[in-house]
Order: sequence, then C-alpha cells, then structure tokens
Amino acid sequence: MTPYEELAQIATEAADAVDNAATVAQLDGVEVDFLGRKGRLTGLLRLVGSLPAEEKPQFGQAVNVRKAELLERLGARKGGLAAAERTARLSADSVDVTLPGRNVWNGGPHPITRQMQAVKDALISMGYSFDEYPDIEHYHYNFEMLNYPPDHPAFDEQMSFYIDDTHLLRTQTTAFQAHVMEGRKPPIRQATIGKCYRYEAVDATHSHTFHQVDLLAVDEGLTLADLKGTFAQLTKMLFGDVTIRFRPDFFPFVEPGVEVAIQWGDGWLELGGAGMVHPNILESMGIDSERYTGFAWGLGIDRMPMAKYGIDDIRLFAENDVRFLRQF
Amino acid sequence: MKFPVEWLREFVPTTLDDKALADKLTMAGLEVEEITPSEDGPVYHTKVTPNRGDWMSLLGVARETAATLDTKMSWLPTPLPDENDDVRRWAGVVITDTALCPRYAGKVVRNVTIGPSPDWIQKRIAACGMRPVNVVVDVTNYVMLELGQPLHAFDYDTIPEGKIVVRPANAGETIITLDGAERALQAGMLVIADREKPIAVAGVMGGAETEVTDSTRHIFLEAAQFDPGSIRRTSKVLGLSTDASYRFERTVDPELVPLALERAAELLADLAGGEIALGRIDLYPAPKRALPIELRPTRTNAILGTNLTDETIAQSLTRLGLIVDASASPFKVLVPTFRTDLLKEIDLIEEVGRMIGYDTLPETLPPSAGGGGVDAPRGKFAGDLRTVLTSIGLQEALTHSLAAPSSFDDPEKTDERVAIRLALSAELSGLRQSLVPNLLGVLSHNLRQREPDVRLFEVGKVFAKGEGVSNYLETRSVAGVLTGAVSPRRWTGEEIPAIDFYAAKGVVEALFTRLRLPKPQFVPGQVHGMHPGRTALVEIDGQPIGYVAELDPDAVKSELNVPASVGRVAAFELDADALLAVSADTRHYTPLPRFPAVTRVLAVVVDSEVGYWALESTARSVVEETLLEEIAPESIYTGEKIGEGKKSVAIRFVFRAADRTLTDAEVETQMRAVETALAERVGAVHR
Repeated sequence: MTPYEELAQIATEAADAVDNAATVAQLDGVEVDFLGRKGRLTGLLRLVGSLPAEEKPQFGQAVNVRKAELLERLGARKGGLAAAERTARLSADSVDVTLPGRNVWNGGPHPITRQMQAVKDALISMGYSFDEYPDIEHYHYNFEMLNYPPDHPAFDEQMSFYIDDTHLLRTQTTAFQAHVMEGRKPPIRQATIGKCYRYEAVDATHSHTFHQVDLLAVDEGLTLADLKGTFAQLTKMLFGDVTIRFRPDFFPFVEPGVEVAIQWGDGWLELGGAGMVHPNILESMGIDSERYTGFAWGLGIDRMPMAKYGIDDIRLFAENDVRFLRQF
Repeated sequence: MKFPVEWLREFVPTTLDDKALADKLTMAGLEVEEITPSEDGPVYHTKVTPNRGDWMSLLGVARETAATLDTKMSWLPTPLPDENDDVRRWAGVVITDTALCPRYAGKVVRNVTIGPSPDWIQKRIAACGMRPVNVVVDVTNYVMLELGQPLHAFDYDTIPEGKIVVRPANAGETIITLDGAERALQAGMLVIADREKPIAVAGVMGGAETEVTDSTRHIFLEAAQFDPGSIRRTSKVLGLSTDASYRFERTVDPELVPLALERAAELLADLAGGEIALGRIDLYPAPKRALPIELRPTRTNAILGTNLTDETIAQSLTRLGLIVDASASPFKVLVPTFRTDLLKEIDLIEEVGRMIGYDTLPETLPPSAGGGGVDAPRGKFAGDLRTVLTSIGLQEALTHSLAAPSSFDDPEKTDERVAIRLALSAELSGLRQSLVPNLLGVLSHNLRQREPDVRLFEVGKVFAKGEGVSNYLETRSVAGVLTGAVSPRRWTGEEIPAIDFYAAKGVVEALFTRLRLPKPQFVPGQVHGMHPGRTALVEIDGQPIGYVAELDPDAVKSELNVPASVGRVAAFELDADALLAVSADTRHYTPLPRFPAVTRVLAVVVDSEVGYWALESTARSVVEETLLEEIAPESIYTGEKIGEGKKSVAIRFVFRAADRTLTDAEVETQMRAVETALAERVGAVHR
C-alpha cells in the first residue's frame, strides 16, 4: 500500500469509528486512537521519511487535512452525543410536578381586623390620624358630652353594660369626641376604631360586641357637602365605584344628622350615622361654633366584610372556626 | 310604628304607589323599613327616631308626607270650642304638680253600651298592631293612633264623686294595674288618684279597679300632657312600657289634648250610643307658645354647603308648617308646638336640608388640615405583631372581651376581675383578664370540628381593676395557642414533629427577633393551668412580661372538652404594651466579615437539671467577646452511656476576628478557658 492508500484507509476507519461511537467516552477513545500522540493518523507522519523529498510536504499536508476533517467530525459527533446524554441524565432526574409542594402552614388576619386595617389605611391616606381610647368609658364621655338629654328615649338605642355608677363599656366609639377636643384646638382630623358594646340579644345579625370607626373633623368652613364627599371618597377606596346614599337620621350629637349607606346588590347597606357636630358639643368644649364647624361619623365595621364576602351570620366572626377564617 | 297606607292616603291624597311613597318618606328621614299585607291593606312599618314623637301618629306622618311631597293635607282636626261647664256637675280635677302635668283635660260620656267596636275600627287598630278589646278601649286607641294623643277611659262609677287628683305618689303606695300586676310606686311617680288612692299610673297604665268593663255605664275620658322625663323614669322603674308611655316619653303636642278628647267623645257617642256631657275640664295653666327662632340664610348655606336662595329656604320651612317671616334679616321663624324637636337655628338648617333632599347635596372634599394622617404607636405595633405572627403560620382569632370566668383564669387575680353590674349571663358577666382562656375555647371548638392542627393568636385588650375607685386598667396583650403538627403532613414521608413547648417558644423568639426587641430571658416558672415542668416566664431586664408554656396535660383532659387524641397544647401570652415600651429601632450596619470563621464543637456531661443557659452564659463570661460570633446548642443526649441523672450537651462555638485570620492557638486558648470555667462552675466533664 502506498502511504496515500494507507492514509485513505485509516481516515475511512477513523470516520467509521467516530460514527459508530455510542458515548462521549468512546469518542474520546477514538480521538486517542487516531489523533493521540501515538494515534494512527498521527503515526502516518512517520511515513514522510520514506517519501521523496518533493512529495514530503504534500503528504504532510494531506495527513493534516485528514486530521482536521476527523477533528471536525469528532466535534460534531461529540456535541450531539453530549446533548443526548444530558437529556437522558436530566430526564432520569425528573419529578412529578403535579404533586403538592413542600408547604408550610399559612396564617392570616381575622376578616374583621383585615377590614379595620383597610379602613384605617384609607383614612390615614386622607389625612386622619388614629388614636386609641378606653373600652371602659365614663358615662360623661359616652353620653353627656355627646348632647344626650337626661331621661331621653335616645338611650333606648344604647342599652349599656354598666361596670359601676359612672362607668360602662362604650356603646359607641363616638365617645372619643370629647377626649379629642379636650386636648386639641381646630383644625382637627382625628379618628378611632375599635370595639363597642350594647346589650343586644345575639342572633345572625346582632351581637353584643361590634366594631366601629369614628371620625371627627373640626375646622373653619366644613360643610355637610364635605362630609358627603369624604364618605364618598372612603367608600370608593373600600368598595370601588358604589352609589352612596345620604338620608336624614337622628343622633343627639349631630345636627343635621345623616344615615349613610351604599348601594349593595338589590338594596342599601347601611353603614352608620353621621352629621355635622352639634354646636352644643363644640361650645361645651370651648370651641366657637360660629367660627368652626365640624363633621363626624360612626360607621359599623362588621357589616362591611359581611356584605363583601356574603357572610350571613355575624356570629361566625366570634366563633373563629378555622375553616371560616382560612377563607379570607 | 305601623299603619295601613290607606289611612295615610285619607290624609294626603297622592298618585304615588306604595313603594314610591315609602321611598320618598325614607329619603326625608321617616324610614319605611318594610311593607307587609294586612286585612286593612298594605301596612308601612316606620322607624321613628327618638326626637320625632310626632311621627307616632297618622296626623304627624301625614304632616311630614305633605311637606315632603309639597302638597296639602286633605283634612286637619279642628278644635270645637266648648265653653259649657255642664261637665263640672259630674267631675272635677286638681293638679298638684304642673311641672309633671302641664295640662289635664277630661270629658264625661254617659250611658254607653259596651260591646265590640265596629269592624272598620277593629281592622284598623289590628293592622297597627293593637288588639281590639271593646268599643271604648278601641276608640281611645284609634284616636291615639290617628292624632298621637294617648287617652284613658275610666269607669266613671268607680271614682267617688268623679273627683280626680293628679299628684306625685307617696312612698309605700301601690296599685294593681290593668295587666293585673300589683305595683309598688315610688315617691314622686306621677299618678292619677281619687281622693284616697292612685287609680292610674299617669301616662303609663290605668288601674284595674277603674277599668272599663262590660257593666260600665258612664265613662270619664282623660287626655293630658305629662313631663316626658318623668314618664320615662316611671316606665323604666316599673319595667312597664306601653303605647301611651312610649309616646309621652317622645313628647306629645299639648294642643292635641282638646282635639283628641272631643274626637273620642264624638266617636263614643256614635259607636257606643253615649251621651256627651257638655263642656270639658281643661286645666292648662301655662300654655305653651310657638317658639321663635332666627335663621340666617347665609349660615344655612354655610352648613349645608349649598347655594340656596332665600326663597327656597323659606319655602322649605313653610312646607313643614312653620311660620316664616322672610322679610326680616335674619328670618324670623315660629315653630308650632307639634315640632318640639326644633329648638335652635341648626335644627331649622337640618329641616331645610331634609326638604331640598340630602341626595341633592354636592360632594366636596374639605381642605387639608396640613400634615398627613398617622397611626398611634399602639395601633401600629398591634399591626406589626399581626404581620409577624401571620407570616409564621398563625391564624388570627378575634374573641369577645366579655367573657365567662374560666378555670384557666389565675385564681390569685379573681379580685381584679372587672365585673358587669347586673349581668344576665355568665358569658356577659365580666371582662377578660387574659386572652388565653378565650383562645383555648376557640382551640377546643376547632379540635371538635376535626381540625387536628390549630395555631391561633389574638392581639387585644385585657382588663383589670386597679387601686382605688373606678380605676380600670386596659392593657394590650398578645397571645397564642398551638397544637398538632409543626408543619403540614407531606407525601414525602418526612417525620413531622408535634407542637410542644419549643414550638411556642420559637414563635415568641420570632416575635422578638423580627420586631427587633431586646433579647428576652426565659426563666423556669409556674403559671396557673400550665405544665409545671414546661413553663418559662419571659423577662426583659428581670421584669416578667409574660410566659410561654405547655398546658398542664391533666387540665387539657379535664377542662378543655377536646377529643382524647389531642396531643400537647402550647400557649404564650405577652404584655404588648410592655413590648412596645422597650421596642426601639437599634439597627446599625456591621461590615460583612472578610476573614474566615473557625468552628469548634465542645461536648460536656453535666447533671440533668443544669439548664443550657447556665452553660452558654458561663462560656460567654470567659470568652473574648470580640472573637465570639455564635454559641448554639448542637445536640443534647441522655442514655445509659452517659449515666443516670446526667446528660451530654454538645455546644457549637464560632470564632472570627474582624481584622485577621485566627490561628489554631488563639482558638484553643479560648476553648481551654471555656472548658475550665464549665468544669469549675457547673461541674461539666469534658467528653
């Protein structure tokens, strides 16, 4: 065989070996066999010596061309095999992604506190500051300072839990008004939120304990229209675009008095009482009721999540069944 | 109040249907809560606000309706002048206290025939929710419903000589009222009396002795004006609220007295065949006059936020039956006696608002008062507590502050419980002193619903009596109860540990870490209802601020009403106000370490009762503070190899210097010091 014939044969064998290799490891073997320091193609260069001087460069070049061809073939084959091997390896490592994750317990806030927080955030963003006041309140703050005449039927709406002759559980967060005005001069933008208590038979829509948010604004030039706009703004933040209803109602501490509601489903969701702070109250707090006017409201919190989530029994809030609480 | 719509339509003709009319009234403040059918046609159920006693009659509702619809009433009762004094042959009245009884009128109807009232009256008063009795009682009720003036009919023959005295009761007097109950009267309660004894509780209920019966021949009819507060007090004390007292409490127009009296007498003459004794007794020494109030149109617009013309304002009030002199500045307004709720300018401004309709008011926002809104620190901190606890898998509960006493209440604090006066039930008998008993009740409920894994917390007030009179303490508390598995059961087959003391302690530690509170100390202690060997008092600088514990397993069984399968129950409660007081944002950046750390684990054997903290604190006291990065327990082991009453504790130490790589020799020096100190101070033997 001439060196050229030998070269052609080895190149063919090498190409076959590359094509027949099944793994990257076998390919590496082929590379060593043919292109290694003692490889068969590399070894052909030894034959250069037996060639006439003028053919030497040509033959050397021919070997190098074959080597380059083989390297290219090796590289291509290696890439394909590596990809297949990677696919097989990771495929063997696959999991059933439809199984549940390695989960942890989830907690969550009570729907009432979640609602209270939403109300608080909304009013704070509107410029009202929150503070806390006692649940055990003096009669003076709960009634007297709120313009309740003695022996008035208005008390019938406020059946109270008395602790002693002077103290009771506040029947309305409105009790905070005199506390606020004792310590501040107008302009006033204050609010409070919390529990209130009234002696009521407990049923699906009544509880002896409920939650209210009270707001008090006193300033020059405040109007009933401002109260209406403020209520509309709050309901927009809490319920989206809803129709509000403002209709006359009576509470001793406001004049004009308003019952505020929003349209919900087929009817009206009554949220509470509101109105312009009665001038008697401003005067009793040493605020000039000619110069300053005020508006106030006391809204029920519990009805809000009941309406929003379709909860039909207020007792569920106090029962705290986790199957109920987890829904919010 | 409830009444047939048809009755109202007799006063105020309108083409509006029942629903549309109800909506109009509701939007004007006279809420129609529902419309129900009756034998007398559809019935309105109205909500009467406490200031509007005049809405307790058809006349008052009709007046409001006419004003709202801006129309005229088809009829108004007009008083018949009756100057004849024939009645004085039959009866006489004396008022001893005109403050309690400003007006008292009476009329005598003779030779009535007692029987059932005609069908149309029976239907009407039944539709209004009253029970037909006989023609006399039914007529007085009918006129009360129609005009709003309560009336009372006495059997004339039971009053000696027809002599009536309106006076305060004397202490010790009693009366048997129409309902058959004997009632002890208190001195000062107003009564209608004959010459000797009370025969009716004025404005509340008549007496049984003078009741109209089938054999009654002559009637003494009473119409009067009583002091609202006095009637209310009497009604409350006697526990007796009637249709009459309800109206008197809300004030009744004194001008109704003669109207109602004549109307009832006429009806009795018509329907019971009675003969009216001419004339009426009518004692009214100080007649009430229309009240003059000044109204500024500018002020009206300034309060309502409107631009109403003088004319609109004046008309609104005129519609309501007020007399307005709009040529004066300010307006001079006369308020008739049927509107006792209108006392000041602001009351008139509300009336203007009602008549133009609150729905027509613009919506504006007040100017900013400067400065934004903020939450109080206490409220914000409560929110922070909730955020941390919910984020580590606890569910918030919200329980009542009113609570029954619990076997988990601390018996040493029974005296501090804030009790409700005259409590009607145990559940409403006082205020909670701790959140844990309520939470345990909730935990128990959930376990009974077959929810084996319960992790609840609450942030809320607890209450206590302080020193002195009417001194009540309200403290914010944060508490939790936990039972079941520490994490959800998984299909991976991992062993999930059950909740125990350490699970609850982990929650407490997370609170301190996440809220950046000072590091607390956990000291073995005793808390009522808790496991004596698994209770830690939580202290900050030696001050106890709460506890973390497992419940006493025997108490879980005997006091909790839970399935027998329940495992350990853990609980914690901390004084949130105390936590807030020590909370401070002390965050300060520490450069990240540039040199490697060296970790060593030291295993020692100590007596079982030696607490881990004794080992760590001893070690800390001798190690060079600047080199120590961490000390933590690695493992605790007890068993035969260690010996009875002993345990092996492996402690991990991590050393690092800020400015260099530590040498082995430096670390060894530290560890030698630790070994020596542990041996000398807690008897630790190096393994």
